[in-house]
Amino acid sequence: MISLLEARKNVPLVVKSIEETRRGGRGGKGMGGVRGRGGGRRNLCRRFSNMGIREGTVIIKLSVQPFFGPILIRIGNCEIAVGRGMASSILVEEVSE
Amino acid sequence: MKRILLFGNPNVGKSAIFTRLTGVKIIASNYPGTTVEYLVGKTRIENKDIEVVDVPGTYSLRPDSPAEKVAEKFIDESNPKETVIINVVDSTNLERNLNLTLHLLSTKFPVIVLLNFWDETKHKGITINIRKLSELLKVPVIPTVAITGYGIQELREKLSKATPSNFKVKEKDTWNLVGKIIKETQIIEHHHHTFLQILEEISTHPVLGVTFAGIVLFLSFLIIRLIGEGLIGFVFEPIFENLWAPVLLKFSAFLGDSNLLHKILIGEFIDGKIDFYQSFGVLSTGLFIPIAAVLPYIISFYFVLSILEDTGYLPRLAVLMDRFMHQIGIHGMGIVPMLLAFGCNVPGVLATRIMETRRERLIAATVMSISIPCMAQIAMIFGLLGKYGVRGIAPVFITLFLVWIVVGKLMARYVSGDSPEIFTEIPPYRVPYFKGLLKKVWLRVSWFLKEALPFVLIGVLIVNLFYILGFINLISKIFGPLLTKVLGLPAEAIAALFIGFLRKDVAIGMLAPLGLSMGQLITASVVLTMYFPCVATFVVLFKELKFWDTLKASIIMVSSALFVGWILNLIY
Repeated sequence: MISLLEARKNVPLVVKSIEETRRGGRGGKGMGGVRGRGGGRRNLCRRFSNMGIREGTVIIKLSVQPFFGPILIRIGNCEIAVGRGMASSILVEEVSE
Repeated sequence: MKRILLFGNPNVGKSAIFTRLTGVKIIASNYPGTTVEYLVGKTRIENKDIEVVDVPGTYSLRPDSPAEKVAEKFIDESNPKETVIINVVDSTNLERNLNLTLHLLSTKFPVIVLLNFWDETKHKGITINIRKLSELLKVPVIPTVAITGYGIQELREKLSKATPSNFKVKEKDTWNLVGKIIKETQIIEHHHHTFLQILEEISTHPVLGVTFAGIVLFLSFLIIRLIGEGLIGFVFEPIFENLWAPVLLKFSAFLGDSNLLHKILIGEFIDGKIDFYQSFGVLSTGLFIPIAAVLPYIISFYFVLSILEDTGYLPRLAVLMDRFMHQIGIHGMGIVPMLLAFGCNVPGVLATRIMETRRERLIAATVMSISIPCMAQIAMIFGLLGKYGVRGIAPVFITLFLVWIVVGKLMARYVSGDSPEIFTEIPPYRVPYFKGLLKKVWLRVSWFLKEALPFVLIGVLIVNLFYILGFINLISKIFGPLLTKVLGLPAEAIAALFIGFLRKDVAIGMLAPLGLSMGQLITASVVLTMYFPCVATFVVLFKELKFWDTLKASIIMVSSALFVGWILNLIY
């Protein structure tokens, strides 16, 4: 199991679990991990699941914007931009053919 | 049935369906175009007038964001016996959309499901068994293509017969059930990439995307100027010069040209003629500035912005700009309110609601009010400094851009609170529904006319009254020396600064007869943009940020305006 950040691009990945991480510093630096909004992991899971990201979903990492920019993923026919902190909390595995 | 609620995820073509259903009379309950506001219109079904509400896009009925809270309110407020819910679903994205559908079915309301973008399923190799889906959900399911109107007639026929579905599902089982339904009703085959999909890949590509964004923004700017200047040169100026000026001249002869009323309504003659930029009467300059100098740019700006919005380009720009926007402590979606603010700061401030936290909203609204000139100001700045070409105009915009970055960076450093990361859906590129687009432009333009026109007329009236009463002279004497020293502007320019509280375009117009040098015009334009928002913006700023944050924002504005003005004065 690796985080979405480290996963390879353009291969099917299956979401294994969603862990709350507190990477990085203050929100003020702009790149703080998943912060704010309160509610921790449950809230995070719900926000993900509203967009269709749940344990067991197959996603594809499409691109990584440079300079710590967001990560683009595809779920079915839908593209989603995820900040790095949030992406680091999505743990995935490559789908074995 | 008295009411129809249109529910759906964001970007499912809900607004296009809304436009198809309703007539011309649409009321935006506040400012349209942002996610939180909603539209209300009317439709006729079986000879009865029925209210149609375009509920803000939502992913579920759990209130996670302000938009979802509004959506939830509609469910709570409406009477299930008199309301039908139309659930607009993106048929190319059935699985994710069904989550909301199941939530809606569990309410007591009758529901009709629309599979919108039905034509796209073919290109994308998707087959959906509509009859089976309808059986499983126990409600009517209608395939639609909002742009062509396909399926809308069938929808109208089925609306009055809709009944509640009695569907029961527990929250934790929703996704399992969605999975089961998808398995039974949908087949996806491999398909080749379409042209639009190739464009999609280019526009978020780390390198090509930036080039693409440059081209898009440059073209947008060209088109805005082309349409704006075309409308002014070929439509509005000729109307004022050839039709309105003769009427005013007759009126002037009737009034006699040396009394007070003449001075207020028509203003001073310049070289024996009415000069719409300089005469400064309520009926001459007061009407000309908002209608002939500013409105054309408002129309062209919102036209182009709506195209960027409806094709789906804005979220891609947000992704590209995300890192850059984090410099000022907000994420990429903050680019949307910033762009809106170039039309008018008011909708810009309102659109900051799409930002999640107080900190982001405070930063975005303040930075925007300080350093983003609205179309009215831009038009006037071009009018004043245009004759100097790039040499005159570039310093104004470069200074404002630097201010944007510096103030933003400082605020990102010192304003406490959280700035969450970007997390947003990127809809596929789509050809906009032209009628819906025009309706949106019209809503925005009519908003400008309603809100701005009275302020300009009152502003010009007050300027004239103040001159006549000697009030302006008084202020010039008190504050004049200070500003002459700090900003290097003549004491008469203080009047313009004062009027800038009301309308900035009027204020900039007041500088025209003063015969200022290029440097002074640059300083005045920058200071006028920065020092304080116009009344309309101030009011919404106050509503959005409340007392303390507005006070903070105001202090930042006035002090940074004086500081930057002083620096510019030293340079020029």
